[in-house]
Amino acid sequence: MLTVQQLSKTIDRQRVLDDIDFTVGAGEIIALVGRNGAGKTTLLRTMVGIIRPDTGDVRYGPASIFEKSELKRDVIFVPDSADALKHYTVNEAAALYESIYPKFNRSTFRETLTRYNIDNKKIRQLSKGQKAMVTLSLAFAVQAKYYLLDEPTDGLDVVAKADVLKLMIAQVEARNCSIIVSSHQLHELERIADRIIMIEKGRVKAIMSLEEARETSVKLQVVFNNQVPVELLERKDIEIINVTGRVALFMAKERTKELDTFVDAHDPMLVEEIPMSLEDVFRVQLGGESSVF
Amino acid sequence: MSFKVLLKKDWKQVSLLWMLLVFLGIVAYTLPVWTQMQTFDEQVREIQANPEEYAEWYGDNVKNPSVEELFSPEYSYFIGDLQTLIPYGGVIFLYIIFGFLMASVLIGSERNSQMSDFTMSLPFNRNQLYISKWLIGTSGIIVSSLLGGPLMLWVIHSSRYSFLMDGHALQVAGLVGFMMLTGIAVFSLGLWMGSFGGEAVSQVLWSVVALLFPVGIILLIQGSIYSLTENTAGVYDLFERAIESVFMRVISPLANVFNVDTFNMFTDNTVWENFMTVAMMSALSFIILSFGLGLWMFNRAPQENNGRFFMFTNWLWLVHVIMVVCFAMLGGIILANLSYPTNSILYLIGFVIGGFLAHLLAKRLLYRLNLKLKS
Repeated sequence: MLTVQQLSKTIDRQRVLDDIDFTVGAGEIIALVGRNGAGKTTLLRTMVGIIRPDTGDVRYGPASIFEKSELKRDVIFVPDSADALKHYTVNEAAALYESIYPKFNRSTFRETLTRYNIDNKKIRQLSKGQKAMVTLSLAFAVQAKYYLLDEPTDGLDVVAKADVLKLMIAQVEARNCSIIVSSHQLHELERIADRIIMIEKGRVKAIMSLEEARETSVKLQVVFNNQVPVELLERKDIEIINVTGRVALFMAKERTKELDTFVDAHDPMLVEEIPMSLEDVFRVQLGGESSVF
Repeated sequence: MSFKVLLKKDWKQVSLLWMLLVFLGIVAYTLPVWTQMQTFDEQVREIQANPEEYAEWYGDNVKNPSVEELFSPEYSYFIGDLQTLIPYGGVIFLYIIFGFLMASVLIGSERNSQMSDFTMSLPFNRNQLYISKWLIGTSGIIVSSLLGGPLMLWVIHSSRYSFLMDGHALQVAGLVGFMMLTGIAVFSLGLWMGSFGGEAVSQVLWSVVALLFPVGIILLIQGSIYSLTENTAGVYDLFERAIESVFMRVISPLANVFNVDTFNMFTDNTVWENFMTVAMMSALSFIILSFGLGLWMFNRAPQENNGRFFMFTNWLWLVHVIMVVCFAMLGGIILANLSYPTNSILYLIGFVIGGFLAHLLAKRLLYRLNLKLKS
């Protein structure tokens, strides 16, 4: 089990990580979501020992990752770009990984390359999608237990994104490894994540399954007999998505009886609960704006 | 998992510079010797053709001097001696340039890119990462010396000037060893600067500053005292004693190099003994000192400050103060020396202007410069 214990970090007098605490079990896919600058990348970099925390620890089993660097053979960090290996050819990169990680499976890596038609070129000469596939395939061929992926589908086209997600799911199914993935592509995470960790200003705002997240908040479409009441528009605990004539579409952070009573009191013609997507949960919980996605 | 993997990774980064260093090292050791011998040839031809024109130096007793006689100490080394043949300065200059470049490629340019994150996420501790980098760079200097040095000896030995080396082979080998140690010392200094300089350019700047600082600060103090008091004799004495002290030779490879008396080391036993003890041990001590400090700081450098001029943000104030004081003294000296005799009022004005400009520069360099690619 990978345990993150009371991790805190201050950079430039700003608390970037604040008492982060969670565990990652075997075979889990955890989505790390939060607005830009929330501390997701810093958290991932700290979890693999790139950054040292001011307080707290990351433990893999009984040992700290900051004390036993060998543990990092089982905890692999994949950054959002393949810049680090850009001067290597695909084969050279594989040879490097093979010499660092004893469990590196060259045939698995080769299979992926063949499946996605990736030639043995310098990594910097590959397309963005191919780079992502190479870095992920290298990481997965290591056969580690934990993967920390930082925006793995960032900037990829639809097909490449789907390939990356397929590769991730296949690995978890085949090897029961765990993945912590940070991404702004919430509709993708929704399809694969078992749990969501919401980060806000360096703190864990919530850790929950998608079902729990959906149950916590509510998205309603209400058709009023008269005009949409001003009191509804002025409520602080809801986010209005759209108002068209007598129809209001809004989300509430929490599903409360008080809200139900309030809506009923304004004589609605129709109240319909709309299923919440992860994007909706993100918006209502973390106060997102369209620009952050 | 073997440590060799790290060496392989670092080799990939620095191989081009490493090979260039070895090649240029061989050139720097041998080419100047060859060209110097060409000059000797010309001078010998000239003297042998017209001995009467050189009677002033050689006297009448040598009517048709042999080559050996022309190089005899009796005639005050009219043409030259063994020391003239050995490219001491050129080789050390090459090692300074390549030492700094290799160190900045090994650490600084990693910090400029995501390579640093990749390296730090590997299952190695920071000691292993640093030692691997140090070994790669050091090996380049050793290989270039081991190839260049003996080649230089061979070139001299197989020439008509081989007599210059008679009885001095050990001294020449010692000098090659010293140049190698100085190269390693300078590279270790550059690598140490990479332990806190947050990117490649900052690392090179820090390296240049660190190389010049010990001698530079003495010069600034000397200049300041002179500008304020006009006490030339006392100040010069202070400067000379400081620059020749063992302490200065240990903390400054540059001072150590300047203090080697290559002119007398082949003839004066005391100079030779001093060279073998003080010069060699100072270079060795500096290597141990800079390697140890570099390792210690590399372990503690906050990786989140990659891209900054100075990574230990808690100590920025100290760097700021040192910068301001040094530039203030420099400003004072420049302004005071505009008039003759030096003027202490002008010194104070220059001090304030230099200090103020340095303060502005330090603010920009230390607090605002951040080439971080990603937070």
